[in-house]
Amino acid sequence: MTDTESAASFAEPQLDSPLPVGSENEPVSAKPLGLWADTWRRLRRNKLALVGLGIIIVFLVIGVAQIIAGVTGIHGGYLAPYNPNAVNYTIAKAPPSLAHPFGTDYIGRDVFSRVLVASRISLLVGVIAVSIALALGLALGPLSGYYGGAIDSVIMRVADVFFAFPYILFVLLLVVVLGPGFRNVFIAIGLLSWASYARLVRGTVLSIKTQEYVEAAKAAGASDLRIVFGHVLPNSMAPVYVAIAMGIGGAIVTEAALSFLGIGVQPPTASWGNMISDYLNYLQAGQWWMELFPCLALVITVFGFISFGNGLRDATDPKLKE
Amino acid sequence: MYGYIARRLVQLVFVLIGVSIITFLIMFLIPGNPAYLLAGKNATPQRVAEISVELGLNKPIYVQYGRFVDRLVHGNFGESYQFERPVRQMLQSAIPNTAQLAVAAVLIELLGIPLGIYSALRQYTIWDSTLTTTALIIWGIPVFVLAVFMQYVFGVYLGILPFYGTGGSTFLWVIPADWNNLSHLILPAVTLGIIEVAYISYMQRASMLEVIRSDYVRTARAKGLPERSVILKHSLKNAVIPVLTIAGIDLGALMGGAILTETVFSRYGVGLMVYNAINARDLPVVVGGVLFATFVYVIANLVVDLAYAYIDPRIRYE
Amino acid sequence: MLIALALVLAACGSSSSSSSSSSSTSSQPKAGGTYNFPLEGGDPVGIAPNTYQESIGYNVVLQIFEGLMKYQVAADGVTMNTVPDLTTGPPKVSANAKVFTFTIRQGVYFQPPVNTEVTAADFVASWNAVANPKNWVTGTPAYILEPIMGTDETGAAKNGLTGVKAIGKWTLQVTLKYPFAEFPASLGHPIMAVWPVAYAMKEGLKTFDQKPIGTGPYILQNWVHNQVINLTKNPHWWNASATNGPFVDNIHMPIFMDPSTEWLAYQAGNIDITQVPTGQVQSSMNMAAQKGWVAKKWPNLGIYFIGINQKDPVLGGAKNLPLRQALSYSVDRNAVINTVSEGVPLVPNGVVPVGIPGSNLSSLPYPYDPAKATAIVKGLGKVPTLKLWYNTGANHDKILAPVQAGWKAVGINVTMTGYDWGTYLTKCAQGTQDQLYRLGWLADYPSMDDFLYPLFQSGTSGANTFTFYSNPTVDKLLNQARGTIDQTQRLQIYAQAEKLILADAPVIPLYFYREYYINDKRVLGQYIDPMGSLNMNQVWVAQ
Repeated sequence: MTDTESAASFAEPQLDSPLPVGSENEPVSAKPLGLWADTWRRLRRNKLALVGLGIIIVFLVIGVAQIIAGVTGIHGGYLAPYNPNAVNYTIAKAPPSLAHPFGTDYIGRDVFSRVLVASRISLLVGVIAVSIALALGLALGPLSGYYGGAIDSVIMRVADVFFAFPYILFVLLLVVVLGPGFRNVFIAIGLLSWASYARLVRGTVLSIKTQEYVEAAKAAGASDLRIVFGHVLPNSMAPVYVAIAMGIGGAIVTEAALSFLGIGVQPPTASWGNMISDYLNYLQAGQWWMELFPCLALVITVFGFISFGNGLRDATDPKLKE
Repeated sequence: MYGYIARRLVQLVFVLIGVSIITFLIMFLIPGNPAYLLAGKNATPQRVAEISVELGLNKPIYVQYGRFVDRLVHGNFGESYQFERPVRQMLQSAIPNTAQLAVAAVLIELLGIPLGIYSALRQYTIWDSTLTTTALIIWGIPVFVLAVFMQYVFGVYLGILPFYGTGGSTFLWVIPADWNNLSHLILPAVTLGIIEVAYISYMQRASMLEVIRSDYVRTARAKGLPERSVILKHSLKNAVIPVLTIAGIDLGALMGGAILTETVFSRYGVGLMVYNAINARDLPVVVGGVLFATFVYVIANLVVDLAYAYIDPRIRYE
Repeated sequence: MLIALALVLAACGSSSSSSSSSSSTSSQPKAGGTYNFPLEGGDPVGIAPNTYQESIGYNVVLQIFEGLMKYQVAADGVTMNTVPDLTTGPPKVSANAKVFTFTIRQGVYFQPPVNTEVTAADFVASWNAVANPKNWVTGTPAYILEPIMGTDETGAAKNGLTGVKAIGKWTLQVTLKYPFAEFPASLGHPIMAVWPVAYAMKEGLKTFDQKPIGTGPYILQNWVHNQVINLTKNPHWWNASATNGPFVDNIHMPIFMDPSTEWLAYQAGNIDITQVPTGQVQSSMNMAAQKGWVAKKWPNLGIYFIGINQKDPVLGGAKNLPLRQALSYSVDRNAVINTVSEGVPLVPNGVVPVGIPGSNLSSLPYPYDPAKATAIVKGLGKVPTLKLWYNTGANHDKILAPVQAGWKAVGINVTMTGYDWGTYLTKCAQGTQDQLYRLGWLADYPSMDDFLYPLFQSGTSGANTFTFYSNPTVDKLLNQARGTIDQTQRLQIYAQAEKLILADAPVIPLYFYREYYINDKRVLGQYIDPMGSLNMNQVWVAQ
């Protein structure tokens, strides 16, 4: 098979739409070795990707700050003008104003503060879910690709099952089993995406393992494990970085869909997903600000990750070099 | 080639077994006795125990699974715990709605192909950035928000299209045979399709860029062939095929995956059926629906791969 | 029934409630036309007496089937009385409140194609059939039959309902296992309806359940699962008249999975009545005023409460009463009702909802009083962090968030966790890990007994409210009430028991349900009674 399936398919964000991972086609392989400067030079020319990168940086800064505040309890555990969960009936459903730039929600919570603080959930969803998937994928994919044979068959057949299982139904089942709590949402999303990473890495490993430096390491008596994880894997990572960027974007949208079904991140913890689904009804009642701002936050962030991911792909794909 | 197909079909069986085992295992691990839920109000311990026995829930999981496989090889999906109707009957009413929606959504998303090609040929122009940015923005909108928006605009405000349920009749299960049927299909299909248009057009752009920078297209250009011919003869096919495969896989994946769209548009399909069944702990319905969706997904993949190989002779079966 | 989803719909606004003139346009009802009534929440599980189990199917089954008794709103517009339907008058009750004798109404016929006249033997057959577990689906509410002699504790009569006898063609005698003066109130429940058993068995019960036949004003025409149920007028209805109807020729009942879609469908003119999703009640009232729709909050016999597991060492029992009082004192019911629920529900005065005969005799002993709550908490010293559970997917998180905030304000920290309904039920029923949890209870039939006995009698409180509440005095009073034939006296005993229960605070009543509906004026006579039913024979198309 040729290299048809691009890494971009990782990003499939909508739970409600398919997850066109994999097929049987081998993923993109090969990459220029360690030329970060080269990549950056090409990336710089892609304005959309730069915008994406900017969005990601802003998102990361806000999200990390919120996480730090949450963990250390500084300023009551949030970095926002108001406590995101403070109920105040007297100002419920107030439209945007100077005091409340994004307005207030149906029980008078400050929407701006909620949107800010919720960035931490989105960041965690993206990072934790992708980390879990990545850890599994990076452990199994190289083994599969390097050893081939029975190990390869077993791992890839299991991956087949994970691919073929209807994605959203699988997530739903897992969330129900694991029970409530945002950690479990992360875990469920993560557990279901490993196969894509495994398959991706396997493909690149396959194409790299015959190259000279691997042969040289073998000749020098390096152990298999060392060859795989010390030499082959580091040189197979380019498509993986792309997949990470897009996977984070996808996980953020998946959380929103789970919220619509009532099994996403549970209140009163604010997440963009549960705000979007909670406030949807108020949109029709004319209180548009509740719905608009979390929606914008989500759309912009996802836009950032996907456009950066695609820019990165363009920049690292040797065939796109000019 | 037949050997290849045979091997893939054997793989399919393994996948189905794997999927059914995982489903069983998960349903078994879900905290809580389904009998409590099924017994409803006033669930005395005695009644709960009776239901457990009646449904075989008190048996070890491997016995339950064995009974399920035994039934399945006799062509019987079992009966819904909750509705006490045959799962096959429930699937029969859900599948046409789902299949129709999936096919229509995929047809709509194919509109992304010309958009993507156009974008690629005009790379870095204002058109390209506008199209690409739009695609990426639409892509991030949660489908349920878009669905409600479409309902309100086209169903209520303009009042030109029905926005819930199904109607009319079909030809060969999926082809609308009358306006009534078609009109019920439009809004959910467009909602689902428009997000994928964005995705497809973006993929198509990338694929097209890849091809027009490839060596053989450069060679064709270097030979002095007119640009039009370079594009049409040498680039188009190779750039479109990979994107078509994505659409093909989408078709399979949508079989169980359109729960949100089906819910908002009150359009009873496989995804919604399984979702309700998960909540009701209705194991036979969950397994039946999941197996069906998996089956279609795998077959769609196979067909895509075969078609791909047929179109592009460079591909050999591994 | 336990309400998982009940709250999807409700919610609502200013007490300056609804608009508009409403229904009484004094003109004579006329026949003909189609009434479009939405079924919200999905396909009904069952619409036959042996399969009916959840509120979605209630308004379908009531058009097709009738029983010995039915429920009727009193002149005050709220109180739900039990009145004779297929019987000629109230039953004769034996002195020990165990034997009830009914005279069956003559001239009642089953719908076509059965067409036979209903006799006492048909009731014997119907009740025996629904008491036979072989004819149940998993959720059949057979517990309604449980008082009758011959049943076990689940309501199953494996060897026949020995307590039900036909004496001659028109007399039915029912003997109970124990005194139960309110028994006739249960006879309006769909499971007690009369149906042509011999015909159903001949056709096959599964076939019959899909196309059931009763004696009511409307006949099932077809049921396309998950899509629509269609009814047509029964031309031979025994009770037909110029005032009783039935008037409309057809009833079209589309099935909605999502409340907001239902509301949009109404705005598009596809249905004649609708509920409104949470958050849009206030705006919908404005819209109704503009468009001349009828917007109204209808009392509904149900209570939403927070249960307190009495087996919990921190919360249960007499020694922890102060903490329960503090929890109750710090719940700002008005805030929940007026903000999140937009004024739709009612502030409760007890656990028995307004509208049930006798419900007006109570008041809440621990109303909102944060100062008192704070004082109690101070006196208690350190209160550990408590757990509040709810079931996901039905807005309960929204309703409970302000409650949680209120507790926090008086110094009680409570964490909230959502479980899906199936897990939730099992975990609560175990009674080992739950502390505080939300639950709704809707009337099976309008009787104080239905809200007090199953919920708070020591033998059943674990299965129904998961409180595992037990108070011997309450148990004694409930049994005494069941044996008291005089209604006034009986209701007073029930009220006495309710007062004791409220004082013990095994539950914190949050609100009584009301249902908020908007309907157009194209179709008149659309009244929702406190049981949530709409008598469609009274409905007529004006335009």
